[in-house]
Amino acid sequence: MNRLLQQMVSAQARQRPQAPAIVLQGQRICFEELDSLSNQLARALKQAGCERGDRVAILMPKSIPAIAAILGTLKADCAYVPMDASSPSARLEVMIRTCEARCVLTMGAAAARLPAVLANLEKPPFVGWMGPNEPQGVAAAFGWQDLPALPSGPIDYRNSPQDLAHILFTSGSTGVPKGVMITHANVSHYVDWCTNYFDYRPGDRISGHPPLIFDLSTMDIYATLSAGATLYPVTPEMSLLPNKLADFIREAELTQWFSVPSLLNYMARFDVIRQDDFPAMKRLLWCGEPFPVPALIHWMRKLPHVQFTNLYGPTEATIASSYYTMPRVPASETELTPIGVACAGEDLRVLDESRNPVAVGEIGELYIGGAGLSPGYWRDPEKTAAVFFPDPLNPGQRIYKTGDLASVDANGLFYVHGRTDSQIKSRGYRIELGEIERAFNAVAGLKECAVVAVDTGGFEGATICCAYSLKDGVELDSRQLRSRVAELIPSYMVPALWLQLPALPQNANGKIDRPNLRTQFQAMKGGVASTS
Amino acid sequence: MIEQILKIFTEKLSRPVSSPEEDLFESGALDSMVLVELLLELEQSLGVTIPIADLDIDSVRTVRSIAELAEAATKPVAENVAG
Repeated sequence: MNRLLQQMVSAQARQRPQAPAIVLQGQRICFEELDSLSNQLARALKQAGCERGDRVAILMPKSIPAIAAILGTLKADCAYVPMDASSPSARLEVMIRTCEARCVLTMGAAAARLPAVLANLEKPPFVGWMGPNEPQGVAAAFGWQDLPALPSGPIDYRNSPQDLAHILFTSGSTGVPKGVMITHANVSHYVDWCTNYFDYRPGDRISGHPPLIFDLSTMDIYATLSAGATLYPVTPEMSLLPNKLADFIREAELTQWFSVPSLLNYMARFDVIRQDDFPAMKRLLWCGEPFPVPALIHWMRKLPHVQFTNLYGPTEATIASSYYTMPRVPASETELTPIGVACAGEDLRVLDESRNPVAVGEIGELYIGGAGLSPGYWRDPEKTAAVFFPDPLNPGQRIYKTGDLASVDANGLFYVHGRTDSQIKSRGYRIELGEIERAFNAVAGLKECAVVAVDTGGFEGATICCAYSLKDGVELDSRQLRSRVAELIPSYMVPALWLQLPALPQNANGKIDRPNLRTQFQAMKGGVASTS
Repeated sequence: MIEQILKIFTEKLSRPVSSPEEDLFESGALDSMVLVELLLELEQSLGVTIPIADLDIDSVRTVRSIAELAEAATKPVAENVAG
């Protein structure tokens, strides 16, 4: 693979300069404009001091400028690090410090908090302001208004496909987010498979629902733009109300929808899809967690003209590693949907504790090898070595231990059966319960605290629950506690259910009795306790 | 109605809201998960069914606007009962 991601987009700018590249809430940008704008931004980054291999933090809401910022970063031979502007300042600070960002590109609401985020950094990054009207206190090295004066023609790249395209932070069980390194080759390999298998074409109108901090967003951006199709980013506000979201899909005449299943489940529950709705739609894809079968059946019956495909894969193996296109509507609501078979160039294996293959139908742990494997975690050889191993079958290659329990059936189809650890999925976010507990440890006045996940029968995956006890004489209600931890962890990690106890229940070994707590939370919500 | 909805946020949804004017999106009190539970609670505790077609972003932005929506949804039902 001898291509860089930005070259796949520039090729379309030459072939179809005036075709729409991105359409978002009445705004649109064509391929030529997107190419020119990102060339200008790359020059601005280089002039301000960015060098090959530097990291550029993208602290921007999902928008046309954010995608231009991503491409501009790649064109400056740098790696981008997307960050959630609604994340607490303390967490943003940790991520910027960890990746040693040379620059932060920002706009919008995040700006107000930027001085606080950067204040304690030993080597603060310079700031590029990507919106109109730079606010006071930002002290940007350059701004949006400086870009038009810069040359917009092509730039020479020094990066190779083995260089980093981005670093994606995921939840870490020790309380510190882990930065997964992803190369240009990792993504372009997947994009080749994806655009070929799904037959992306110019003229396709493709959703961009996952947040930019999810690696799933890179499938939307690069597969869509490299195929000359049009990307329709979907902002959080656009997907809040299921009826409005259905209106949007209908009016934009999207040809492909791709999101985490919780959103699809949400739309099914509100029954906002009409029979034979979305006539332009060809494909509906999901990834990140299992699609509840009753909701899947609902969707498939409503949209018989659409192809439904389940994608599976952790960030460490780049976007998705396996796929399963539904051959028919599931026969029963209890039928387990397979994760399917490996995408071309990827390799799935179910191994036992000694890393030997298990028999057909036996449950073991899922390992992934092949072209999607990340080089590892950013500046963390220890964590990297704990999950990336030499491949016993292919000398010189590696395999990645996913932490997912899996089996293979006689037809070679893979199935996932939960986790080996306490990682959970909530609304598509991958969350280590340990990271949440660490945040509580930082709150004074708590004696004990346990965070567990409960399946309450909701549509957004597991519900995060916190049980706690207080030191003598301390008064702290769940509301105060909630606001303290919200300063440390992102909102999708903040527990939704709370229980204050005189003391947490213990098991025979003197450890916190988590199954007991799950049962208590389950009773509060009338749901089903999960095994997480 | 405002008081009852504030109580639902605090007691049922574990998302305390400080005032009827608080912007629920900005404060993070309302996301799609909470919205579903809120609509279920309005049905179960208050007997109010808000038609999904009536929802837009601004109608659920504050507790006050949700209360207006809920009151509007109660009226026709009451007339039907009376009639």
